[in-house]
Amino acid sequence: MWDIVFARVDDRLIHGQIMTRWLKGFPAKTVIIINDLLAIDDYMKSIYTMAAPPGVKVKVMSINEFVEESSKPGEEKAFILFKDIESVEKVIDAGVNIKFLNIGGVAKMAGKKTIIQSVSLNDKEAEILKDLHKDKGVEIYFQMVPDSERLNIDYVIEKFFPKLK
Amino acid sequence: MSQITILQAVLIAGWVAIVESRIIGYTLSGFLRFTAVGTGLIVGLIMGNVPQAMIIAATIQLVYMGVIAPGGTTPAETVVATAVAVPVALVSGMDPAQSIAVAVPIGLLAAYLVSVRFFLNSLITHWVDRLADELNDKGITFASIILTTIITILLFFPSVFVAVYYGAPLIDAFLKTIPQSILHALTVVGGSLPALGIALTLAVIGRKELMPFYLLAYFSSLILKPLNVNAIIYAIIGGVAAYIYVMLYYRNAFENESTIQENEISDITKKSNNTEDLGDRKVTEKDLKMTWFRWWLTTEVPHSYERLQALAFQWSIMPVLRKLYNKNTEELKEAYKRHLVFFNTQGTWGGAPILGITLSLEEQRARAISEGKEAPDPNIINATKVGLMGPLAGIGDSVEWSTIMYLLIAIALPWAKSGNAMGALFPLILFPLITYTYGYYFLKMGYGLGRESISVLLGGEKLKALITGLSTLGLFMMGVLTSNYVSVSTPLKWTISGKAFELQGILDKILPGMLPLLTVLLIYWYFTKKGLKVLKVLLWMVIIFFILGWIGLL
Repeated sequence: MWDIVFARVDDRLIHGQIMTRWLKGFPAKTVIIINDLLAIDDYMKSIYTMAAPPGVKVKVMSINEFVEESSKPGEEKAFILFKDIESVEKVIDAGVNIKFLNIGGVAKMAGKKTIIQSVSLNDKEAEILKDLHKDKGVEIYFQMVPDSERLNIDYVIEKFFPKLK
Repeated sequence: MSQITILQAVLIAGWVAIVESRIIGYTLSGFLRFTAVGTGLIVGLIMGNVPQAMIIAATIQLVYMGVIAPGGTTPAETVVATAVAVPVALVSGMDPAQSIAVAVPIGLLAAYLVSVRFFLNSLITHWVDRLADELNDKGITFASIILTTIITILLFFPSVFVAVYYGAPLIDAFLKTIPQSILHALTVVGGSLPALGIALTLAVIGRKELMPFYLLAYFSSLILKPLNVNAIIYAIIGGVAAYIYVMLYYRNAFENESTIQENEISDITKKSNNTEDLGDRKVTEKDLKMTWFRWWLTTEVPHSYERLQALAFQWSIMPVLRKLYNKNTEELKEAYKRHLVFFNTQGTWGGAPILGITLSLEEQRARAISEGKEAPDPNIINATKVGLMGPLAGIGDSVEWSTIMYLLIAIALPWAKSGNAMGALFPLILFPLITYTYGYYFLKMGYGLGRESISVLLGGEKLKALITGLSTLGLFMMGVLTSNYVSVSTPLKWTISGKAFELQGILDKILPGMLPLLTVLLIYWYFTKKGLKVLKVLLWMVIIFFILGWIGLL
């Protein structure tokens, strides 16, 4: 159903950087936010859909809805956003083909290591990413906006989570 | 060659420092930080040569078209680049295209200073937390607003002063020593870089289906070049074309939607009026106006990575919070603290409605508490702010900065290129004015309608039609700018059996204006296939065009 041109993990979901720096560089007509909580919040769902600038369609789906839609035929170009790394794991495990994953925003919390300015990871998240990369062949890179520092998963594991190697 | 006086360097450095502190208003400081024309005018006044300053600033502006800073990030600080490059160019009599060689590196370096600023501001945030706990309004004002402004001024003033006062003669001397071939290469680079800015703006406005308007404008203005058509005429023609397109495309919206939307609005207003049977509202129109002014003035002043706009948000509603919670110091403290948590959005499209909605929620809470009734959960207030700030930033950044601001600049750029101060005054006055006005309207709607205001503001087709119209006009103006200000041409000529051939002449016979157009479209294609990697493209363009210019191909 989807030709995924860009996939990103950003706990702030849609915001300025997404709409102006990323989306314009991978112009797909449909932006899909994959998040279970948001999918059942009618008010916020309508906000995300309405606040889409003209020329862009925004859809909000739960993980299951997205997996289901993905198995349908079609090659609609899609730009997908996840709120967290666990959601990506679920979607890929369910069989959706994501080749490149951008990790752009994960908030800093206790027990997390700061990887780039906007992304901090704990051991569990790092392990999930490592497995997705090694076992499922997903190219994973950390970058906030196209011009900022870009690190790939191998480098990050090596430097920040050497025990996981 | 004349010298830059100490006074001039001081004034220029002071200007940059004040703009970087962002205390002069969200859209005004944003305009001045990201664009060159405003600073060009000021530097022109300081140096006593407005026309030439405007011409140089216009050239720099073309390179920096499309530069905005969502989420507090910028690839380059245009204000610093312009404030250093223009005096240097004025004093050394440099060709405007060569001034770009000075502007670009300075802009990149200045971006590092902005990171330092973020770090320094973060040192203040914890102090403000403590002041909030003490309900020390004056202290909060000092720490969040005044001290942060002073810190930024102290950060930028010395570096810009040194760059201007000592840098100018240095750069001038350096330029006098380099050979002609390198100077020519620099001119080639400078002539081509506007293609970058224009391609970026095309990508950032991002409506592929509207690109025909770009081509239409490009070739029309190419043909009409000898007639020296006034910039405003192009804007009007573009406006008419955009209007026709929008009328046709959104025809249904204008025929059907208007009645539907009007009914919706009156329904929602009736609903909100009914729920407000809890006595008269404490928040007055004056309060709303003051809140909007406070927010607009200080949105990014206390900027730090940890809280971004939070401190400004809290400071903006502080007086109203105090009024609402009155004697209840514990509740007031909680209110202060809950508005110091991380907050980031686009100042007008996100900030204004969220401020209004927040005020209405806080008022409901305060009233319920004072009447001894069950008060709405305070977590809802923050959840609403956090939920709305993202998507509203998405549309705000793409409409206000990427479309409206650059459209105004594009219309005025021909004036700037011919040395006219209107090139700066037109966008400088209109942009803050327009955004301040509709921003207040957003805030008022947010307060009056609460959460429903977002559907009213964003839900209608009319807004989408308006934005599409502006985007169309923006692309149109980019076409006009491309034909006039992107210089890519080849001096290659050769002779075959006594007959001279000029490559440029041959290209012109096939398709006039081919090289500039191809340059822009190539970069645009790259941006939309590989992403908006502005710095990477900038670097490659400088290298490629320098080499091509140096070996004489261009």
